[in-house]
Amino acid sequence: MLLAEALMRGDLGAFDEFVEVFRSKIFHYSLMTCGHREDAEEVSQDTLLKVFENFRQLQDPRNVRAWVFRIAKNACLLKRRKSVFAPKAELSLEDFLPQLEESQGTLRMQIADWSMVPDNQFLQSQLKEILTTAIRELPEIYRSVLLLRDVEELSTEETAQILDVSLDVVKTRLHRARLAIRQKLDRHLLEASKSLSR
Amino acid sequence: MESRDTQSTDSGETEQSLGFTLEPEEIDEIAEHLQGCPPCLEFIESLKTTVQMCKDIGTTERPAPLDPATHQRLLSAYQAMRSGKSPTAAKQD
Ligand SMILES: [Zn+2]
Repeated sequence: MLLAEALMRGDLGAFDEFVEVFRSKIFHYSLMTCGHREDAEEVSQDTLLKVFENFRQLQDPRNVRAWVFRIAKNACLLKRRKSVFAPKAELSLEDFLPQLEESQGTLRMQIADWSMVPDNQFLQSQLKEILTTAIRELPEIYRSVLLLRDVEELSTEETAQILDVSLDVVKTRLHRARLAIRQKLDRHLLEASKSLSR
Repeated sequence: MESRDTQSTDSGETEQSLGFTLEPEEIDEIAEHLQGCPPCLEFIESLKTTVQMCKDIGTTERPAPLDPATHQRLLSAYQAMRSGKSPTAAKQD
């Protein structure tokens, strides 16, 4: 990554850009992990301080995102005592696949109507709140994968590096986490359409 | 009537929303199934929307503006690292 290289060369513009970019990324990741703004602010500062102090330990500038997030993840763990953590549990796939319902003698999947979601601002903002809560309520091992892969948009390889797990574990957990939150949104949409048709 | 103009059968995207890699034969088989199965298409569409919404929330919450004292602390740590001093030299507390 160019930014990390410029930083190594002593480019002050790169320093400010790096702080700007990573401070918001780490803040958001920590907020979703710890649940408190003050903790998230602290984690992002502590992480950046550690990053600059130890920057020479970064062997390959291309690994900078994974390296920074790894430090952030550990800083979040230290805040754990104060945070609102969901119980440690495995998610079972079967729990998150759509229910089958019988209609006219055949089984069919029960899925809400999602077609209006992309164009409906009000529905989107409602769903965003539900989504945020759903992510926070995920068991930690799933939440961390979903946050890094889908929210922060890191690669499978980076996520595996940060969390010290295999690529396959990242993929499996991501899939289950997505199904779990999809279902929360689906339930909300089903409820919403029921109350509309009442 | 079933719609065939949906993009959901694009195998790359479908794979991405599944979160794992499929064998080419599996992709063909699934693509073929999806053509004739509206509920499965709807399901994959809803999974795609979910993933897209996750991407969107990545930028919603922002930290408070960086205060000058913290900026200075970070800059000192950065400059100390650049000049090759020990990391602890940058710490004030
Ligand atoms: Zn089907």
